[in-house]
Amino acid sequence: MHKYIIRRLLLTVVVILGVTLLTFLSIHMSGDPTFFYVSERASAEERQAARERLGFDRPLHIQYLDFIVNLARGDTGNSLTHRVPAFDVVMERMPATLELTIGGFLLSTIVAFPIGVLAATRRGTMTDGTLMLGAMLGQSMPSFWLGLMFILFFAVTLRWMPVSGHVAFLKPLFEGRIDQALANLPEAIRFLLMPMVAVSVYSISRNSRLIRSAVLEVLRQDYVVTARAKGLNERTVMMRHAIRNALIPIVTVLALQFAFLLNGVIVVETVFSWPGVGRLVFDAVNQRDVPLVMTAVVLLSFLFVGANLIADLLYGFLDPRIRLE
Amino acid sequence: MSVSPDPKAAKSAGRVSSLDFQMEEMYEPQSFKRRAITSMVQARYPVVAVIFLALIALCAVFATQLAPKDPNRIEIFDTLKPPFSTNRQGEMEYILGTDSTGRDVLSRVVYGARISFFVGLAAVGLGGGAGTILGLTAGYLGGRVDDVIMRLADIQLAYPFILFAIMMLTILGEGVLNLILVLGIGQWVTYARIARAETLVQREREFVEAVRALGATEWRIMFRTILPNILTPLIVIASFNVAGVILSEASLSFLGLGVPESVPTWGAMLANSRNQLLSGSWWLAVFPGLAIMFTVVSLNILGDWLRDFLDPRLRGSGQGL
Repeated sequence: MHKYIIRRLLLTVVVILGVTLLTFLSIHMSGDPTFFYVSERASAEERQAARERLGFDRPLHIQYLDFIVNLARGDTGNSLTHRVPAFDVVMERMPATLELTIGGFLLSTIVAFPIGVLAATRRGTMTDGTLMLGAMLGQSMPSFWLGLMFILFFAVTLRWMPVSGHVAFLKPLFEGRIDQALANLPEAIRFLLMPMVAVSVYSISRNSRLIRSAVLEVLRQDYVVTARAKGLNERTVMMRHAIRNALIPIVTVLALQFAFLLNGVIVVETVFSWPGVGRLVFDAVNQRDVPLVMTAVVLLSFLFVGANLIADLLYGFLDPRIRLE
Repeated sequence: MSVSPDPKAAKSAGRVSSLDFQMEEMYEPQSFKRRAITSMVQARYPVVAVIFLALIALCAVFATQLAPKDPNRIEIFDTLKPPFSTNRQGEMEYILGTDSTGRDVLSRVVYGARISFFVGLAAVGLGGGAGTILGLTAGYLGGRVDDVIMRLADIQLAYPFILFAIMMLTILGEGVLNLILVLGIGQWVTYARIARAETLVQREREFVEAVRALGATEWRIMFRTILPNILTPLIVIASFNVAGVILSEASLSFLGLGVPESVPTWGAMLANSRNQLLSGSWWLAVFPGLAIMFTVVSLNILGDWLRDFLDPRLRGSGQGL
């Protein structure tokens, strides 16, 4: 097990290196980033001076290695547009993105479970049909469109909800200002509600369909028949025998959902003017702010890989028969 | 990346297909087409989906003939007209209303089908084709080649797709081909992983051994012997994948990436609608969204049916859902 974790962590390093290399090469593929930081009428000398100042005059592989070595030391370099450490710029925005991603993840998991289990136990009935039709529709709506519809209906027409805006919850929490975080919580949830639901509808639908089929698969197994035959009540059969075993395939998919969610979050942030990393990356790429793009991509990839790693470890934990090697 | 229960799946796969084989011997063989149509009609929903998709395909191909107006024609006196508005002569002119520059929403929705359909099919063709070949090669050759291809897949899986797309499209610039390329690159990993897993199973089977004994080249074994036998799950995935790609395309157009402003797309229409929401111009946001939703739902229904019809063992495996 320890061996497995170490191997996975090493693999993670390889993967993150690959991601940074890919990002680095793509940014430089579009030509000299210096042009974004000098005026159009700059002379050749001025341009050269700027190039040297920004460090773009060095050979590409030196620039890349430099970034990696500094990254390993925890130094991401200054953002070219914000002129403060790129890490700080990304972390300033990260809590808002995490609020949306984690909120969406929790919501989609909590809601999908009862839907999936209910549909599976009522297989072939009207309840099952309705739930699964709903899931099919939910899976087919772009999250950003759902966001627009929520704004139209709940904010513009009914005036129940704010159109956009954000109250920080995770940021004060991360900074250790717990009182502040708790005080912000009710307002934070009010602003979070619409974007969170918009982001998670796709996952709710997908997960509930998956949970339904996982439970159905398990209900067919002999040990469920045995459990019923020995007179256990249906509740125990479901909770102790069926759902517990159905969890294994579900957990993997749930963690992979995290990745999907993050994709959706970046788009939905635009709909609700949410102050997350989505917009930040977008602008950073447009301005060829190399350190900022690299830092954001590295941090988001860590989130991705971390979620997958946790899924794999849980997998072995839930089913001791699976040996992770 | 995840622990895949390959050997188990392999065993059951073998069992299911040999069972199918016996069944076919026992019963009067029905033509494939006939079985497909019967099963589709029995399931009902897929028929509706096919009809709707045919309609959208018709819009995509014959947009010029079907759209009532030029989708880019600006009418400064007819801005933000609600649906079923009449013109000054009292005739019904804008069935789905007009946008903030007076462009006809219906015509733009009809034209929007073009990009969605074309990009969806082309990107899946590109990504599916490349992924299948890479997965097949990785699975068949194994060793170093397998390692390199699968590590590339791991790297891509760790890269949030939307970030990748934002970056590539900003750098490559807008254009339909770039959009197809980026969306295609986004898809290959799924196909590569499935093709690899299936190839690992097929590689060990007797008919492959037989073909090898007959002196077939590696190339022939890979593409003529193994490939046809691993296609079914890939086709099922592809049908869902078109739906997924259409959603991704809409997201990218919504962010203002992808195709030039002059090309009407459903995603870009939604992006423009955002500023008009507060004034209550609901039709700008509702209709393009419904177009996306109905197209995607039809593709998903069709995919579900295709999976049950072609490869029921995929049901519940989490693939293609």
